[in-house]
Amino acid sequence: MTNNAVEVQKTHMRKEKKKINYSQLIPRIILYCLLTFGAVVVLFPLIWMILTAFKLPGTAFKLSFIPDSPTGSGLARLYTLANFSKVLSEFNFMKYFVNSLIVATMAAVFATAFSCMAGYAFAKKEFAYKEFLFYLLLGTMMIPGMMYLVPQFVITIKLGWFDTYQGMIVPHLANVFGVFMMRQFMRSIPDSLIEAAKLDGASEWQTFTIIIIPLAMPIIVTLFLLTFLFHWSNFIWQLVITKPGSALLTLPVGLAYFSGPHGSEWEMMMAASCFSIVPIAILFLVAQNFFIEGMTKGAVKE
Amino acid sequence: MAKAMNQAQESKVAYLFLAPFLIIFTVFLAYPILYSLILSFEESGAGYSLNALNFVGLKNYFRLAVDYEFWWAILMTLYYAVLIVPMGILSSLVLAILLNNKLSFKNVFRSAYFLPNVLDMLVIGIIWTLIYSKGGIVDRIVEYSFEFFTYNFLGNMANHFIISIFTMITQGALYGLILLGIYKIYTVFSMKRYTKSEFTGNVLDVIVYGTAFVLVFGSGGILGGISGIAKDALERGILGTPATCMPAVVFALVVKGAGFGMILFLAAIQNISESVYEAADIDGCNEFQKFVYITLPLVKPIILFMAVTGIIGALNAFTEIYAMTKGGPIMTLFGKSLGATKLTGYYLFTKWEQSEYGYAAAMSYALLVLTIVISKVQEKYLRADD
Repeated sequence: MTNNAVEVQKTHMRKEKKKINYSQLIPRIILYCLLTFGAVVVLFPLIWMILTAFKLPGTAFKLSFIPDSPTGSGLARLYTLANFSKVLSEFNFMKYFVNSLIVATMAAVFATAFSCMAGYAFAKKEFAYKEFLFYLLLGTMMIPGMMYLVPQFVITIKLGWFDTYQGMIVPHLANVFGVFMMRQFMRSIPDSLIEAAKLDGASEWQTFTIIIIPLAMPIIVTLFLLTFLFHWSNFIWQLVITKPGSALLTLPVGLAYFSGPHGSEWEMMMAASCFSIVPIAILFLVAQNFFIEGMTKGAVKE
Repeated sequence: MAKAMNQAQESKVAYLFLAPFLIIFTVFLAYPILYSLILSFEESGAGYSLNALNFVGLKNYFRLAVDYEFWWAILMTLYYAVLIVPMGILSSLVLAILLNNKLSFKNVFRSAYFLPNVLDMLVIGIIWTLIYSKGGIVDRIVEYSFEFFTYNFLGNMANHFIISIFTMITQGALYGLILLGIYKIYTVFSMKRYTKSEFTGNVLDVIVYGTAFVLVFGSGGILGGISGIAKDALERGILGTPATCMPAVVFALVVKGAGFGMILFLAAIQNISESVYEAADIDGCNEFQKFVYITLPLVKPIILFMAVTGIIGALNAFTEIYAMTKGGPIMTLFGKSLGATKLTGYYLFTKWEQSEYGYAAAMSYALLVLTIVISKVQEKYLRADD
């Protein structure tokens, strides 16, 4: 017994010693090197996109940083802003950017609001067919998205919504995942709060907007960001529901059509890519905890 | 009576709250499943118009059963899943273990690894197309490594002294490491253990180790095969070579998604109490044993989760294929030309492009059944695990 205790103390003392031991230094340097290498690999597309976007036309494959253009001097001879201005002025990418913004914002606002209301009903109300509806929702969550491509397309066409904003937005406003997320959160709000509000004479709608919404704000922000992200990068639906050359194209679809005839003008393509990637990267850096928790918590719960 | 009234009242209020969601859910999520079934019994008639759909019974399903392109797409989806699932799990786990140390800048690394997850798949795919394209950076790296391994350092010693010496020493270190590894293996697994005389043991060792060496380093061996593929890829582009296009696409996706799994693993690893590891320390476990006997069993549910979502993701894969290969490159097998990266999702899309809505709907249903089977298998495994 006492022997064991001495052993434990010894190992502790050894550990204490290790903290100042310089033999730890080399493994730590290796660890940091590995981590940095991993970060460079993971962020390489981003780095390469930005570097290429500033290059002169036709120099995308030049690995050397030595300028070889006859005009300008120093960095100006290699790095140029011309790609950005050309992409914006000649190729409509400003329009695509605005479209992406409209579609993603509208879809995120409505989908979040609808999920919020439905989640509240599931969390705090009793109603007929509640169980049936719950399992119906759960069932549709398992269905892969590709499955919906054809029927949703045909239905949207029959509604006459081909190549319109509502065609791009409305079919994806029912966010089942969002409803579950909201329900999960709102169940933790104590019933007494709602009852107190009712006693004070608040209507159902007032209870929802004054009590529930402020309490659920963190999860609402998370859901808003996730749906915004989903619609910002949703490609296949925007591709099938718009005409080529339409004025409503979003960034990814615009880029996909642009890459057809301009596939070899990599500098311009990368400049155009920046408009899709950089805002989202900045948004992520600002609100990263919302993104990381929202995306991973849902996954583990399943 | 009043209570029943109240309940009816509450039901009404609840449905008012549900209404906006429920209307869209019914029209665009619930009804399409039924509608897809109806559509799968129909065929677009003249001009592939949506208004000229005829009922054709099970024709689409019969056609699907004998469509070699469909079965090829399933096979390729399987291949894709077999590549992406282990690579995804491994890379996430490695990142999580590296990050599970006491570090400064831990949050910086965590954000950096997670960042690619939120970026647009199509755009990332196009950037990778640039990285992989002929004359692009990966091509250059392959070219340089060819140059490195075939560099005539003795012949160039006089003219390029520093480069020659550098090449010689780095190559030497590399081959030295390989020799050291072989020697270490030899000291543990020598054939002498199984023979009585030293002579026969030596003979057997020569044969076994020699064969293994030739298998890897010989002119017809594994390394030769890899360099042959690499030469092919240099000529036709990495995404244009059937042998390299799928691993290249998968690598791009693994790099993009590694941070996601990393967060899941990290949460699970941090849940393991420090005292468990300390107990293992006292029992004299080394790092590897601690990993195999403590960490691995506790992160098993996450490995299973990632495997299942990976397979379902493979059935859903479309954007990455559209961005990088468009289903190509075309290869000929048994007299049929087949797309080397034509996964089910992309094949479905080509059928939509050709306005074969009925056929595409039938294919969707077949894939739906496949997905349900996979999720059921998952459920069974996860339950058995509890």
